[in-house]
Parts: sequence; C-alpha cells; structure tokens
Amino acid sequence: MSILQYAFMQRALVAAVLIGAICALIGVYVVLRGLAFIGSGIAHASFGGVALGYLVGWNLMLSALGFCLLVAFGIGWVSRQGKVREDTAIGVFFSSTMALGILIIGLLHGYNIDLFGYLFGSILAVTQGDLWWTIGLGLVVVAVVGVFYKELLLVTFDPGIARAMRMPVDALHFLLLGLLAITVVVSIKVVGIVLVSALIVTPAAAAYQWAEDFLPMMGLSVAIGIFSAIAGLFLSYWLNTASGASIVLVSTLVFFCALATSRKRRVRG
Amino acid sequence: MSSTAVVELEHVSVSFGPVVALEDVTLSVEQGEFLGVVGPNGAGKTTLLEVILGVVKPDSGVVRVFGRSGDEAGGNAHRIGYVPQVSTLDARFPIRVLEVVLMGRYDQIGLGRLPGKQDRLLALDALRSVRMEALEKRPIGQLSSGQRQRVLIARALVGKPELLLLDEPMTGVDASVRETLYDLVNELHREMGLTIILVSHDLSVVSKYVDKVACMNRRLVAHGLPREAVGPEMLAATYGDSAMFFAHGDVPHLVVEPGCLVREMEDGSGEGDPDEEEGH
Repeated sequence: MSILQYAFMQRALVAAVLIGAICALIGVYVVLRGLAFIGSGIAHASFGGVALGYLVGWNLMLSALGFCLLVAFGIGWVSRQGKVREDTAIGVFFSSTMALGILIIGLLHGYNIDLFGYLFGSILAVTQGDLWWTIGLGLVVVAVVGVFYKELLLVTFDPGIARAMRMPVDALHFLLLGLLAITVVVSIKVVGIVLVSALIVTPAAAAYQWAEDFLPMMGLSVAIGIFSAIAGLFLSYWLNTASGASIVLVSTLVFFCALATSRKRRVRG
Repeated sequence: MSSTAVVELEHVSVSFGPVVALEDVTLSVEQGEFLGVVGPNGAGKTTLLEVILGVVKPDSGVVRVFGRSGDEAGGNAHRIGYVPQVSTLDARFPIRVLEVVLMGRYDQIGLGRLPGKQDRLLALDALRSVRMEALEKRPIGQLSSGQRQRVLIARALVGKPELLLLDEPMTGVDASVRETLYDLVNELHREMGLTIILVSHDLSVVSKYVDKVACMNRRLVAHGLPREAVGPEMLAATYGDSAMFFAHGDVPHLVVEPGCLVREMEDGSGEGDPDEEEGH
C-alpha cells in the first residue's frame, strides 16, 4: 500500500499495533476485575506527569511513568486503608492530578505545549524514540503477564482462594496496577489521555462477549485491539480524522457486533 | 489435647474493628473427624475457617493446625483444601471447569510455568471423585449451582489435602441436590479419610451426617455429638430466644424469625453445654 511509503506512517502503524495489543492484553484483567475506572483515573493522572516533566525538564515518558505509578499505588494504598472506598480514592486522585497539570501548564507560559495532542493523541507525531519506548515497555508488560499468568488469573478469578493458598494477593494487585500504569503511559501519545481507557476496556469487553475460556478471551481481545488499531489508522488517514478517535470507534463498533452476536447465555442460578 | 488433633484452637478471639467475630473459642478437631459448625449469620463461622486457613490472624489465643502455629503455619497451605461459598464465584467469568480445578494446583507449579499433563490427570481425577468429569470442558457459567459447587470441591481436592474446609456448601443449591452433595462429602470423608469441617446454618441436615457439631454464636456455645450438643437450651443460646424448634427425629428442627438471627448474647450463655470443651 502506497501510504506505507512514508516513514512516519510506518512508525505510526507499528506504534498503533503495539499499543492496540498491549492495551487489549491488560484490558482483559481490567474488564474481569472491574478496574475500568482506575484505568481512566491513571490516564488522567498522566497529564500531571507530563506537565511536571515539562516543568522540570525531564524525559516526558519517564516523568509520566513515574507519576502514574505513584498515583496507581497511591489509589491502591489509600483504598486498602479502608477509610474511603476505592472509587472515591480514584475520584480524588483523578481530578487533583489533572488540576496539578493544568496549574503547571499555566506556570509555563511561553512554552508551546501540544495540549491537544496529549489529550486526544497524535499518532503522526510518534518519533523513533517514542517507538523504542513503546517496544521496550510493551515487552515488559508482556513478559510480566507471561511470568505471572497463573497467579494473575487466580487473583482475578478468585482472590479468596488465592489468599487461602498463601499467594501474595495484595502484591499481585499492585503488580496489576503497575502494569496498567505502564500501559497507559505508552499509549497516551497515540490515543490521548482522554481516550486511552476506551482502548483498554473495549476490545476486552468485546472478547468477553464471545469467549468461553480465559486464554481464548485474551487472544481474541489482543486480535480485536490490533485489528482496531490498523483499521482505525487507515480510516483516519483516508478520512483525515484524528487517529486515536478512529481507533477507539472501530473497537467500539466491534464491541457492539460482539454484543449483538454474543453466545454468552444468561448465567444459570 | 490429644496428639492426633489436626486443628487446635485455644481461647481464640478475633475482632474486625469494633465488630467481634470470634470470642474465646477453644476447639479441637481430631484426625478423620467430620465436624459440622452451625450458627446464625454473623456468628463468625467463616472467620473460624479463615483462622484455620491462616488468612486471619487471631487477636489473642493460639491456633495450631497440623501442630504448627503462627508463622510456621504457612507451610500448611497445601495440606488444607478450602471450598469457599459458591456465591463468591463470578459465574460469568470466561473459564472452563477443568481450568478451575487446575487452579487448586497452581501453588505447586513454579512461577512462569503452566499446568502440565500430570496436573491435568490429577484434575481429571478430582473431577471424577465429584462425578463431574463429563463436564470438564463446560464453561462455568453453563453449570447449575450444585455442579459449580462440585467443581469447587474438586478444586479443593486436587491438591490432595488432609483437611477439607467447606463454607456453606449448600447455599443456593436446590433442595433436591443437597442430599446428593451431602452424600458426596460424606463419601469423601469415609473413603479418603479426610478430616472435614463443614460450616452451615442448616442445623437439621448437618446433624444427620457429621460426627460432631459445634454450635457458634461468636462464642462456642456447644460442641459434641449431634444428639448431645443440640438441645433446646443450646439452640436458644445459639440462635436467640425467638427461635422455635420442632422435635422430630434425633435432632430438633429450627425456625427462626429473620430479624432475630444476630442477637447480643450474654456471657455464660453456653452454660447449657451437655459436654466438653468449655473447661479448657
């Protein structure tokens, strides 16, 4: 295809496919454990991380990553204290970190920050350096999921029995939050802070409708994520629309197809 | 206490914040014993199991399981099979029967490794012992709750435990299926020589099968042979005064007004004990 002659388009395609796959992989745990809101919270927190990176002059990817990990663990820790519910903790972190980002950007007048790009994604601005970050962190996510496959499955399916089997359930929960934070950070440049949680949740939600076993759900989710990335990217090229939004809408379309054709019967009592 | 005791609790108390779950419970379970633990909702029955599992640490008192207490007790995990309440299970989770049973072996398979052929054979064995081998490929969402309960029992059995803990295994299970489930548990008890602790609020049925009954309402109200431990005074102490009992058969049946299930109990309410335990 002729559009792939352009180097930026090749980079965009590789980045989109990688991100589509990683988001869909982590999305399986997010959907099955009901972590959608925390994912969205971490994504919004990354705005504070990016702004902080600008202010201090650090690598933006690294500062966003550090900040998101801090927020993810902070939410996990505060809600484990039992003084507030988890969704309340997310609500507090979510808006305060966003507010911090806005405050910092206000302090940085004179700087020309591509706010729109960070909020809604600009895949065509993906640099070779970004691509390496995506590949590196993506491999970390895949490797950790591979190594802890059984353990993550068990704490997702039945934390009670995992605890009875003396598995480090809390540590595994934090591990999952860490993976979620990494996934969010590598994705924001492509799909944007506002849209990344959709890319995490939607392919897995579609796969959930079709799959009857865990590993097939994972495979299906990743396949839907990759398909949405490719189809969305080409659509955005042809229609001259925002790439992140196009990718998300393709996956949403797949989700509604799944919902309509779902073989999932009503659960018997 | 006797050296064949699998579980020994001495003056165990557990609170969650201001809520007292267990108060000064002293109890021992012998090897090969089938103990039924009965009591109303909120009586600390599940907490009792969690204390035995080592998931909940007591505020005071000593818990010894297979002779180990405190930090050593972590080594007991593979010797105990735990069947949680079936309602805690997400039936819409996309997973098949065999995979659920295999989870019972996850702690014996190294990090980064998947279950192998040997694990699958053991899982099929466990499914066979609960007569579910024909449904190994069924997603759990397509099972009845009685079948789902069997899967959970198979998962607890696959680790070859010596002690089996069952938490309300009959809840949500059709009355017609209950008897077969009890027969199954009883069979495991007899044929495998398993020590079993079964928690239930279903006093009348439990008493038919178990060797001993422990009646709880945060405190241990009575402990002994079913026909000795279960008398009107003890029932009143366990369930409150507004419970009514029908005596037919060996063990009185029980009717309780729902609002009266969790009542404050006065100290010394266990004085009606027909035998043992309180003196420890």
